[in-house]
Amino acid sequence: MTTESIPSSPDAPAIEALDLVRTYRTHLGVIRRRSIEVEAVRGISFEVRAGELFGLLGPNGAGKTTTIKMLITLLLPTAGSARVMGFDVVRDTTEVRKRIGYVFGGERGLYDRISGLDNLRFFAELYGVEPAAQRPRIDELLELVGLAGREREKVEGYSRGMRQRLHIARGLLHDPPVLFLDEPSIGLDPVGARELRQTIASLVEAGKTVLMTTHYMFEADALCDRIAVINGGRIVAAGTAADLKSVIANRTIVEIETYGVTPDAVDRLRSDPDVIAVNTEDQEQSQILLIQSERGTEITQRLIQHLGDTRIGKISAREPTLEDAYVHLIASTGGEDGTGARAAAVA
Amino acid sequence: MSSTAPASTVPTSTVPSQPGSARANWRIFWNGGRLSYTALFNWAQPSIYIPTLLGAPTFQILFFAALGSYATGMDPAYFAIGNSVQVCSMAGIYGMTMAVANERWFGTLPALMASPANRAALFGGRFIPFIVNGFLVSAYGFALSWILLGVRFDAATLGIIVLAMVVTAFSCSAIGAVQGGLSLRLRDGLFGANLLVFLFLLFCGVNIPLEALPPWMQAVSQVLPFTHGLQAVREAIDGASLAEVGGLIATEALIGLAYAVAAFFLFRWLERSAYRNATLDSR
Amino acid sequence: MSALSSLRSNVHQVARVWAFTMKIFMISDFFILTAVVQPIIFATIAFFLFQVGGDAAGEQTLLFAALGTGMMGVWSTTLFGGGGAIAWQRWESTLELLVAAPRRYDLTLLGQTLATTTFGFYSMLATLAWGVLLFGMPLNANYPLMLPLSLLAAVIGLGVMGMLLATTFVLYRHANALSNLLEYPVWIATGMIVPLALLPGWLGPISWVLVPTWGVEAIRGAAIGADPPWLAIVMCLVLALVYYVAARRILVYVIDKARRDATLNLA
Repeated sequence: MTTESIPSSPDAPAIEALDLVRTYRTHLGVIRRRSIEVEAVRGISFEVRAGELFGLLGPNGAGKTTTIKMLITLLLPTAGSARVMGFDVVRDTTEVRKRIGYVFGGERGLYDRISGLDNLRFFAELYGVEPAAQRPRIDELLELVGLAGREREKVEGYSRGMRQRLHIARGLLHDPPVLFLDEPSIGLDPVGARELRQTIASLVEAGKTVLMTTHYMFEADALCDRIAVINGGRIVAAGTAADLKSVIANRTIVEIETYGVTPDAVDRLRSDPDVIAVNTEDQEQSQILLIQSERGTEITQRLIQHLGDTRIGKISAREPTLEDAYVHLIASTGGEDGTGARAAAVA
Repeated sequence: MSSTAPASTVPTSTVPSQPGSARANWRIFWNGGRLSYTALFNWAQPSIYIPTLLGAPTFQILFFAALGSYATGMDPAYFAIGNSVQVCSMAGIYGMTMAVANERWFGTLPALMASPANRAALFGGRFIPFIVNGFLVSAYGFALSWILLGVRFDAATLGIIVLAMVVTAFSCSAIGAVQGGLSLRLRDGLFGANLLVFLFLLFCGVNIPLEALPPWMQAVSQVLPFTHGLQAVREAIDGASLAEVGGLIATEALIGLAYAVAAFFLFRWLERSAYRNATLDSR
Repeated sequence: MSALSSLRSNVHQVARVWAFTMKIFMISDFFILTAVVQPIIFATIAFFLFQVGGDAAGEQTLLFAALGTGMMGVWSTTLFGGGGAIAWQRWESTLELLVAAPRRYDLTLLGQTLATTTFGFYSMLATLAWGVLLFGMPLNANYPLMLPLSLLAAVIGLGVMGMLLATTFVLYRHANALSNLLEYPVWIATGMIVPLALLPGWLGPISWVLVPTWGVEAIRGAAIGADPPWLAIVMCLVLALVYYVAARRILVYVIDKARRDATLNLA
C-alpha cells in the first residue's frame, strides 16, 4: 500500500480552509490577572488546487503560522473547518498526517546530539517508511538538499543553513503529496536559497502541492501560482501576483534615497495632491522613500522641492512590484505591526 | 563548508510507507526507542555516565551502609541491599525526566505530534533503554555490596534477584515517566526528579525498615515502586524460594504497569491539551 | 593605593558581590531543593534511623543528626552551586563579561561562592527547625557564644572551598558530573553524620585536609561538644587560606587557557 492522494473527487482542492478561526485565551498582569481573548485568526477561507504553489504573505503576527498549524493538525481551530487531501483536519488527523510534510525550520526542532542521518532515520520510522526504502530515500534527499557527506556529523555542529536543509529533507522523507513550508529560505545564503527555490519549483512540477509563507516578495512573485495576503488574522487580498499588482498597476513608484529626512519633510510630500502614498524604509545610514503616484504624472521636481534641504542620494522611478502592492495592502488594512488582534476583556 | 550541488530534478519515486502498520509500530518501538535514548539522555557518554551512574551510586551505598549500621546497630548488608535496588532510579527517574525535558528543549515535540506515528509504540519504546540501564546500575550495586559489604547469595537466589530487578527497573521507569509528564507542565523537571529520588530513600523500606515508619508512610510505600521488589529481594537473600516471593514480584509488576498506563494517558492528555491550547512550544 | 585601602577595596568588592548573589539565590528553584528539601528529607531519614537504634542519649542524638544533615546540605549547596559557578557563568555567557571587567575576577568569584555557602546554611536552619517541630528536638548549645564564630569560620572555609571547586571543575568538560560524584564521598570522609572514629583509619588524614570536617566540628563542638572548638575554628581559617592561594593559582591558569582556546564563551 502506498499513500496515494485520494481526494473526494478529482477536482477537489488539495487544501481547503473554510472560515477558520483561532482564538487564544491569555492573561494580563501579575497581581490582578485579567483574562483576555486574542483572536489570532479571524475567519480565513481559501483553496489550494492540487499541484499548485500557493503563497501566504503577511507581517509577523498576522496569523500565518497559526493558520498553518491548524492545517497540519497541530492546533485545533476554534471555529471553521479545513480539509487536506479531502480529509478533515480535526476528524481525520492521522490520515492528514500521513499525507503532509512540513518544514518550519529554524535553530530548533532537531535532535542536536545525534547525527543528521540518525535524525532522518528516526523520522523515517515515525512516518512508517518501509525499512528497505529508508536508506535509498535518505541518500536521495541528502543529495537533493546538498548535505551528502555531512550526514554523519552531529547536528549540534551544523550551521544554520545546514539545519534548514535537514529540516527540508525531513519534510520530504515519506514523499507527501502536500507540503507546508514556513519561510524555507531563511537562514540560507543566496546560492543555497536559489537552489532551494529550484527544488521547490521542481517539486511542484512533479505534481506536489505546496503552501509556503515567505517574507521575500521576489520569491513569492517568481514562484507562486497564487498568493494570499494575511493581515490581522484575515485575508485582505488573494489572487495571482499579477492580480495583486493590478491594485496599484496604474501607479509609478519614485524611489528617493535620503540622509536624515525629517517627519516634516515626509508630511510635505504626503500633502502633495498627486502623491498617493509615501512609505519609508530605514537603512543603516539612509532612508529610502517610496512615493506612489498616478502613472504619467511628472512629479519628481516637486518632490525634490518638498524635501528642501534634505540631503538626497539616488533617485529612480519604476513600475510597482509585488512588494509595493504588499506594502500598500498592509498599510491600508491595519499597519505593519498590526496583529489586528481585538482584545475583548473578559471579566 | 563543502556541499555537493543538488540534483536538478526531484526524485519522482513514490516512497512506500505504511504508517500505522504493525511493522512500523514495532520499528518505532525498538529503533525509535534506541535513537531517542541516544538523542535525549544527557548522561549517555562515558565521561558523564561513569561518575554519575556508577560513581555516585557507589558512594551512596557506602554512605547508607555506614550511617545505617551506626545509627541502628543493624548489619550494613541490610542497607547495602536496599540502596543497590534504589539506585536503578538514577536511570529510571532522571533518564525519563531528561528525555521529556530535552524534547521540549530541542523543540522536537511539534514534529512528533504532527507525525502519524502510533503513540503507544512511541511511548513504550522509550522504556526499554532505561530499564536496561537501571538494571545494570543495580547489578553494579549488588556486585559492590558483595565485594565490600558482605552481601551473599547463591545462584538460585541470583535468578530471583535478576527477575525482581528487571521488574523493579520497569516500575521505577514508569513512575519516572509520570514525573516526566508532570514536569512538562510544572516547570523544572529535575526538581521533581530529585525530590522523587530522595523520597525513595526515605520510604519503601530502602533504609528504614517499613515497620519503623508511621502507618501513613507505610501505606504510601505500598503504592510506590521498589517496596515489593525490594522485599522480594530481601526475602530471597534470606532463603525464600521463587514460589514464596513470586507474589511480591507480581505486585511490583502491577504497580509498574499502573504507573505506565497513567503516564501514557497523561501524555495523551498533554498532547490533546497542547492541541487545544497551543502550549507546546513554550520552553 | 596603599596596601590597607587596597585590602579594604577588595573586601568591599567581595562583600558587594556576596550581597548581590544572595538576592539571586532567594528565588532559585534549585537552591530551594538543595538547601531545604534535600536536607529535610535526609534529616528525617537520620531521625528515624536513630529512633530504630533506640539510642539512650536521645536528645543529643537528635541534635547531632540535625546538625550533621544540615551540614550535608551546606556541602551540597557548595558543591553544586559553588563548584558549578564558572561552568554556569560560561554557559550563560556572563563569564566573558566578568573576566573582562576592571575588577579582579577572583574576588568576584569568591564573593559568589561565599554567598552560595551562606545560602547553604539555610540547610542547617531547615534541619533544626524540622527537628524541633516534628521530632520534639530540644535546642541547646554548650558554648553559645562560640556559635557565631563557628558559623563564620565554617562559611568562610566552605565558601573558599567552593571557589577551589569552581576553578578545578571547569577543567573537566562535564562539571556537573563531578558534582554528582562528590556529594556522598565528602559526607562520609568528613564525618558529618558518621563519626570518623568508626571509619577506616586511612580516612583520617584525608579528612583533616577537607574543610567541612573542621566546619562541622566547629559547629557541633559549640552546640554539643565537651570542649570549645577552638582547634576546629582555627583549622577552618587556615585551610581557607591554603585553598584560596591554590584557587587563585589554578584560576589564573584556567582563564588563560580559556582565553587561548577561545572557550570563555561556549557559543
